[in-house]
Amino acid sequence: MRFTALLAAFALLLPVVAEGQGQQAQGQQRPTSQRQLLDYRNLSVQEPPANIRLTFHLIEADGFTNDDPEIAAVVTELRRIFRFRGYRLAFTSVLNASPEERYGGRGGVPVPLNRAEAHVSQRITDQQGRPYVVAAAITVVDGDVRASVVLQDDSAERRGAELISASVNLTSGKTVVLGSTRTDATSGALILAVTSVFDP
Amino acid sequence: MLDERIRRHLMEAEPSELRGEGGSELARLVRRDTDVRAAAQDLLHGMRELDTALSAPGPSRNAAFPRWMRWRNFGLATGLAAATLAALLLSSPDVQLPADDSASVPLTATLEVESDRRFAVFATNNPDIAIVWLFDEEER
Repeated sequence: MRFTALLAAFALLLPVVAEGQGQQAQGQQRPTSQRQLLDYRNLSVQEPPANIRLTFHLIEADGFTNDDPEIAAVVTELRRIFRFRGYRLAFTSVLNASPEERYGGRGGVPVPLNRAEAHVSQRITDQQGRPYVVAAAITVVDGDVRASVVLQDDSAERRGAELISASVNLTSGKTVVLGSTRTDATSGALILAVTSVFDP
Repeated sequence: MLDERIRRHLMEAEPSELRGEGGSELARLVRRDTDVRAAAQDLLHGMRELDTALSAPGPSRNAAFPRWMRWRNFGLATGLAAATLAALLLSSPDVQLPADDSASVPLTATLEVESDRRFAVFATNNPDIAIVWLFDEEER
């Protein structure tokens, strides 16, 4: 009886083991059991970047004459378009985001949604002591990386006021410069340069 | 939907051509074809909005962007106009930028922007940098 049950169990397991070996022989096996199962079911999954490094440069425009080499490339392009008197680097923030894959359920089997998400934020203070919050909500869908970037005023008077807010697709190694004139009493503009680098 | 070649010509056109003035092929097409004329007028409208926004009140802004520079900036007239038009095209769901076959595709060619605020995308001389300017309602 015990032998019969063992034989039955072996017979049930055999095709799975054999197919698993076949997958391995083709070099398609993934490092996790979920991946193995998904490969077995021939569901293609596009891996999101393991890490996305976002470098934020907040630049204040007008009234500054010093050149900062850290933002020289961006300022060169800004000068071609605008004629603010100068541009000053208010702060630099480097944030690392590791998108987490989202799975849906199907018959108890996790199914990849080809979607990964991450959220990063940081409170930071400029040279005048004015506090800001910079945040990015990242989504990776079918390999396309998109970030909703927000710069908020975090001062007691205007806490939560969105100074800059936009959603852009990111390309590794490229810089999207988001600018807006100030809406408070100060003149000039706030410019947030977002540079992304993807680590595979 | 407009033909890809016409879109490209519209992007590179002078405002007078977009108004259908002159004897160029595009100007004639603007006068003759209602779809092309509608697209050209959309672009002209957007250019006027951008022009207004960029010369909005504020001493820094007026000093920052004198009128003569807007379309004649350091010999970048075509580039800046194209950038402006690119921004308008990017803002419009019905019109796509022409694909760039070159190895180094400018970031603006692939950039997709969404915002609650009106915006303009400026092409730059650096293919790795794109500038997006967000406008407040009062700047319109």
